[in-house]
Amino acid sequence: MNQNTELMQGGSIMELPVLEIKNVHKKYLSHSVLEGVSFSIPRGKIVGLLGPNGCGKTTILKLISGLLQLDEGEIRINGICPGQQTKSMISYLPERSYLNDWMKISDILNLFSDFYTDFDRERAEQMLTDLKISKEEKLKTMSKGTKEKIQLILVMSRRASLYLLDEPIGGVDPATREYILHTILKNFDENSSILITTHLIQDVETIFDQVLFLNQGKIVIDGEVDEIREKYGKSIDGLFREVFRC
Amino acid sequence: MLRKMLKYDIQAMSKTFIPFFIAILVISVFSALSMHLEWLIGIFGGATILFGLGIALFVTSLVLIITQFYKNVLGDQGYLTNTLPVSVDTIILSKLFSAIFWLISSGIVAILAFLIILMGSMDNVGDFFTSVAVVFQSAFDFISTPEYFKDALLIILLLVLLFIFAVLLIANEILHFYCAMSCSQIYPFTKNRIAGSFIAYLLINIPLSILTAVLFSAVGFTGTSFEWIQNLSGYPMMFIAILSVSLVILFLNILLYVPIRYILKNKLNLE
Repeated sequence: MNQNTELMQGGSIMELPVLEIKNVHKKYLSHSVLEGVSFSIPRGKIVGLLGPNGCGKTTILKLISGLLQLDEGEIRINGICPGQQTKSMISYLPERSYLNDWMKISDILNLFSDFYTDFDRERAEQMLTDLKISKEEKLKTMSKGTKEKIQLILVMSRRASLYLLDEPIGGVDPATREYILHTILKNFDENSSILITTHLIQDVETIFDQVLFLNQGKIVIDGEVDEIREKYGKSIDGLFREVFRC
Repeated sequence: MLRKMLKYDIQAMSKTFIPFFIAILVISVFSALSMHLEWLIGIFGGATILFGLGIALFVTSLVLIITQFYKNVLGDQGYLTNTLPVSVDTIILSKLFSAIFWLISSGIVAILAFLIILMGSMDNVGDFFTSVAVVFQSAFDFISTPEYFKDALLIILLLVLLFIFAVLLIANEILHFYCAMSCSQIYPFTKNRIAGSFIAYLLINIPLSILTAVLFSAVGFTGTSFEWIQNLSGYPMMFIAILSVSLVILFLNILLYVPIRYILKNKLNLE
């Protein structure tokens, strides 16, 4: 199926941007959340989607992952519209814990191995060993923080084209924050891209290649981190504080 | 993918159902022994516990079937379920089939419990096995007698049809629940999703009941309108009757399935 799409488009999948969003609109009833959002993410980039709470960051990730349907516009992942096919290309870390409490860690590893052909079980097991988490432990008995780490391990152990990380460092202690950033960088490869939403910019701005500022349903700044720093003469965090000043 | 999904859905519910089944069977054995030894307290106690377990199993099955779908598809776990590279049909059918599987298993356990108690009520346990052997022998003799062979096949076919009808009926109630819960993704039910699901259940129930009544009446009317149907007797008449009501239920199931599929595919709106 992948091959057919590539042939139809007359090029290799590697030449396409990992993600392309054009003029996306999304409303919840009469409340407009996204008003003509457009951006694209090339391969091999770590991109920060930044904005204040409730500005539509999660909505964008849900639209890309196929959990929501857009009202207007176009989203393409490796040239394909969100659907069953793109779900195997995207590794999505939601803000909420989606783990089944009845499972042991070994069960959730089995589930990922069963459904995702790109799941690198060895990599996941190694990361669990690093964190001294036993595969026989039940998810029910684990703390929220440990569950967050496990979810991140599962997501980053896939060899996906696009990783969508929704607030991966929100509400975790500094040591865990460091572990999470280390895990993201360690498992990232040049053929994939990562889109991270966060409002805790200071902690993560060093890992971004590109940033997108989302405000009132629109992208107000989109560019390479170094260029933005040079253009505005400020750090990304400083610029964020200025743009989103209350 | 359906097979893989089914494996996890059956496993998820096994954590509750299997302990129940074990408890029911153990209490059945206890009751059977009490009956056999004519120990009145044991008989009374066993019967009370079994009754309680039966009610608890029924309520738990209902709650589990509802919560499994709600939590796994529409709740937080839905963030995983709905991003797995599987179709919406796989998700719905896997939930439906696993629920039917556990309900049928509950039925089998109930029959086993009944047989165990029946065994205990007999003076001699050996009599029970002799009776079972006689029943099986008679059934075998009936099938292997050439002049009854056709009748035996028809009875088996009738039983299969009845089983399919029962499964379709169970599926109808489950899909009614699923449809109501799926409505919680749409405004105004999103305001309070749980209350919204209850209201949606009642609202769906009105047209569903009317349609069921109309379709069954239509089937009955058709049956009395055609002379050739009225002239049928015995098995053919029973086949036509069961087949007709099964088709009606199947039609209603499809009517319930379509909106569930549409909502999960196009209107999903997880919290």
